[in-house]
Order: sequence, then structure tokens, then C-alpha cells
Amino acid sequence: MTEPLKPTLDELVEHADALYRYALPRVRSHHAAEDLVQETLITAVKKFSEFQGRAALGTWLTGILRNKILDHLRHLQRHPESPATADENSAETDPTAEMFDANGAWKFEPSAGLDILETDPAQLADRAEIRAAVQQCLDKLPLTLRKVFVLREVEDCETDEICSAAAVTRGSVAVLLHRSRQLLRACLQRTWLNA
Amino acid sequence: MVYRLFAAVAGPLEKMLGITCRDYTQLASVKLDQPLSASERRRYFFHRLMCDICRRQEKRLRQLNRLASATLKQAGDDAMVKLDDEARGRIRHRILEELKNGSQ
Repeated sequence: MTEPLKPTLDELVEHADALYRYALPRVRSHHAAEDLVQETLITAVKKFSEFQGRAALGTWLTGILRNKILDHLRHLQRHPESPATADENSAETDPTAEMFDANGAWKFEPSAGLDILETDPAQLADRAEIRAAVQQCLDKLPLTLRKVFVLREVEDCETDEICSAAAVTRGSVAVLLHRSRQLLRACLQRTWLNA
Repeated sequence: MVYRLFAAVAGPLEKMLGITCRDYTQLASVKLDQPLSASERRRYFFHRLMCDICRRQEKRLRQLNRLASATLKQAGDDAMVKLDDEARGRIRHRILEELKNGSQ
């Protein structure tokens, strides 16, 4: 198999916008997304000998970027940009507890206002107001819950990767996913019922 | 109304057996990611038989996951989102520096 041709600087920088679009919703910071794109392209220059041309260049670059994002999230966990206000893993601070009464029954119909979800998700995601609502509700999630949710539902990470990237124990991943899903559901329910 | 009546009557028993709506919701979330144990499956199916509110809610949860995933992936496809010329310039400059340092 012939070796792939080394891309020119211009060809590499052409991928910068696509990489930026990939990074931004995952790290939620323009500055961090730009840094990650820069680091990705620099790594690509240094390690181009490892690119075998089996996948498209963009796909290879996205793979590098994905790992950079996971490293970035791990770093954030160890050096948070803002102090945590509560222990998100603690049973005492379970934010879903208030959704149920003393016998564990729903206080409020959990599916009310969510009939819109019957529509194909790709079609829904095409609508700016739906995207904005989902993004707003994701942004309201506590940091660890948001990370775990995005790592699972968007990045399709396995449990071990989630543990490593979000610095959580294996045993807490299921609990954190449950909480993030319920908080997201409740937030969207409030948004759409009040609309 | 029916749900509230049922919850009031059966609630304490469900709580004792670990098959409340709250328990079911957690199991339904776990089930999205991994198989349930035998005892978890029994509790899950028993409550599911009795509670159509939880059955509906579980379906919504799956739909919601797909929507959130589609939304974030869509954000990645939005051609309006791009680096400005200054940022692209910074990136080019940094790569050139790396190439220069690498060749020394």
C-alpha cells in the first residue's frame, strides 16, 4: 500500500473549522475549543507517519481531537475552573429525590409536555428552538452529570472511558447517568410546558 | 387521579419490596446501558406491569437521549460555527513554529 501524501499546512488548517465545530459543544468554551484544535493539528504534524490513509484525513484528525477532549475533561476534573458547590455523587444530594413522594411515587406526571419527543430526533434537532432548549438544559446540568451524559450519549464512551475522563468510580456511573437523564427530562418538561 | 389512588394504597408495599416508581426509574436508566441482574429484572418487570406512567416515561427517556445526542451532533455540523480569521492565523503560526522547531 502506498503511503498517504503528507498534507500541506493549508490542507491541515482547512480542517480546523470542522474540528472546532466538533470540539465546541463538547467543551463549551471557545478558548478551550481553539486550543484543542491547535493541539490536534500540531499532533497531526508530528505523528503523520502513523496515518496510514485507511480513513479520511478528517476522520483521523477527529480521532486525535476526541482523545484531546477526553484529556481536557480529565484535567478539568483535577483542576476545576469553578469550585464544586455540592458532592454530586452523594446520595444526600440526589437531585431526583424531590421528583418522588415519600413512597417513591411520582409527584408529577413525568411524561407531561413531552409528546413532541415522538417526532424523529433528527427532525427535531433541525429546529433552532428545540436545539436551544436542549442545549440550555444540558448547560444547566451540574458539571459532572453533564460530562457523564455527553460522554455516554454523544461520544458512545464505554464505562471505563467515562470513569477516566470524568474521574468518577465505576459504581457511580449508572447513578450519575440516571440523575443526568432525569434532570434533563425535568428541565425540558418545564421549558415546554411553560412555552 | 387513578395513579394517585393506586400510589396511596400500594405505595407502602411497593416501597418495602423495592419496586416503587423511583426504583423503576433507576432500573430503567441502568437497563439502557447494561443488562439487569435477575432480581433487578424481576422488580423492573413487576412494576412495569402495574404502572403505565413509568412505561411511558421510560419511552420518553430513550427518545430524549436520542434528541440530546442529535442536538449535540447537529451543533457539530452547523457551518455557521467556525473559527475567525485571527484564530486561524494563530493556529497556522503555531503549527509553523512546531515545524521549524522540529526541523532544528
